[in-house]
Amino acid sequence: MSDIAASNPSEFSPELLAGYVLGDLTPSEIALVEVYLAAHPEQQAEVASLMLPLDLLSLTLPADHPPASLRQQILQVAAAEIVATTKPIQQLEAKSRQSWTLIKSVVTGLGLLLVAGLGWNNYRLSHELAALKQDLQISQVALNKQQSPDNLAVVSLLQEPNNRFLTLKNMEGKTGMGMGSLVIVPNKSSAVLALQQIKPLPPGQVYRMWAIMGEKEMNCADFLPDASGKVLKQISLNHWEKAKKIMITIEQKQAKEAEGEIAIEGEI
Amino acid sequence: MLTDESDLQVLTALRQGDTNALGIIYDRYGTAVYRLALKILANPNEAEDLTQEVFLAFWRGIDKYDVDRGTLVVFLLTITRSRALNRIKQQGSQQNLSQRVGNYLPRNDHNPGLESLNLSELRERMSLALQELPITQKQVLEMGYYQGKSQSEIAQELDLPIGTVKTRSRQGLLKLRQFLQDLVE
Repeated sequence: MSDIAASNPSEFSPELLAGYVLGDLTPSEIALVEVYLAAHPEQQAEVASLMLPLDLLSLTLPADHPPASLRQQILQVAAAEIVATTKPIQQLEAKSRQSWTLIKSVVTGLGLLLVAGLGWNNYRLSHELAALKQDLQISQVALNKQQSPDNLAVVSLLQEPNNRFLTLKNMEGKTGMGMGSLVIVPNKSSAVLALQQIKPLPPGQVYRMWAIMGEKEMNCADFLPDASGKVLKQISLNHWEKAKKIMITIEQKQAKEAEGEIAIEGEI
Repeated sequence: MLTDESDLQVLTALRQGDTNALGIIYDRYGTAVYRLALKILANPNEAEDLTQEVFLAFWRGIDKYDVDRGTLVVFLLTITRSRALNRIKQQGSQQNLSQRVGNYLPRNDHNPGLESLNLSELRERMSLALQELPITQKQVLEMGYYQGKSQSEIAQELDLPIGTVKTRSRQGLLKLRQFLQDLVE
């Protein structure tokens, strides 16, 4: 062993390292390599370099393509998880702390419902749930007892086919200054706005969402964030389903035109 | 346009909550992940499912992903192979292989040679390298990689002495590494 440890790297058998990577060594050979690597840690790069051809081997596989719908499925689940961590503040302001806890659990649980609905069958769900288990910390969700009609309506909307997802970004280009998604649900003439990291506003001001259609700006909805800076709001899609751009400004409540600064925007 | 940016910049956008960035990463590597999943699982539905699982797992763990651990495509393909082989419940020796190799994944590999190539260029390099490999060496390497078979299983299936299988796969791997030398230095 000590001879091996003292070996000059140039003298050590490359076949033995290749065998190590391939997993075809005997236990005693593995021990030799591991002693050698312990004595020459820089040689771990050599092992990694032997892994690279294997890592890239699959790039030469025949040109099979995933279904075109898979991309959308993945983005839908991701968007649903973002929504699932966003709380419906307008409702919460009027409710007790007990209700707040209840709804928080429901909203977390809604992510699971969404995943269930968006997956192609229970088989997919079983895999997805296994992967989600750690991330979502779902152990205490009691869905059946805690569903509220409003949240179920949002879940129902997000499960509709043909939904479109729009990423909304803050205008300051900085992390933590507001971001989120707008889910357009053409089948139900509705949309769901989910934002996070939204700054509170002084009294008398509101965030206002505008749909930009050509030269026109259509007032879609006013809203305020909750105490944790989150927004979850269902909005009627009435007359703005063909909008190419969405803009969120900070306005005086009584203002009729878009006069305030643009806080967030996104293009469809 | 984010679509024109490097992987590093797209990853930064993804960390900032831009789910559009996940779509861009999928557009770049979704097909490669799916093809590997399909090759190992031999079932389009399962391959589709695993592809979704890989990208969502990557997205959920984005804060834990260390760019210094290697290029994104290698990272995604490694996750894909590992999860695919887990799904088909390989023998203990092969699981040990995955685990052991996992300890030696490119950790300090900011690899300019590799990162300078896009996916189609990497594919071309790899195709050329494989063309140079004797078919007998290529065969044993592919059986081990895609099917997770042990050397003794390969020897049995091909009716060859195990020593021959070991020699072929080791020499094949060393040759491939030699052909790709500029990417690993």
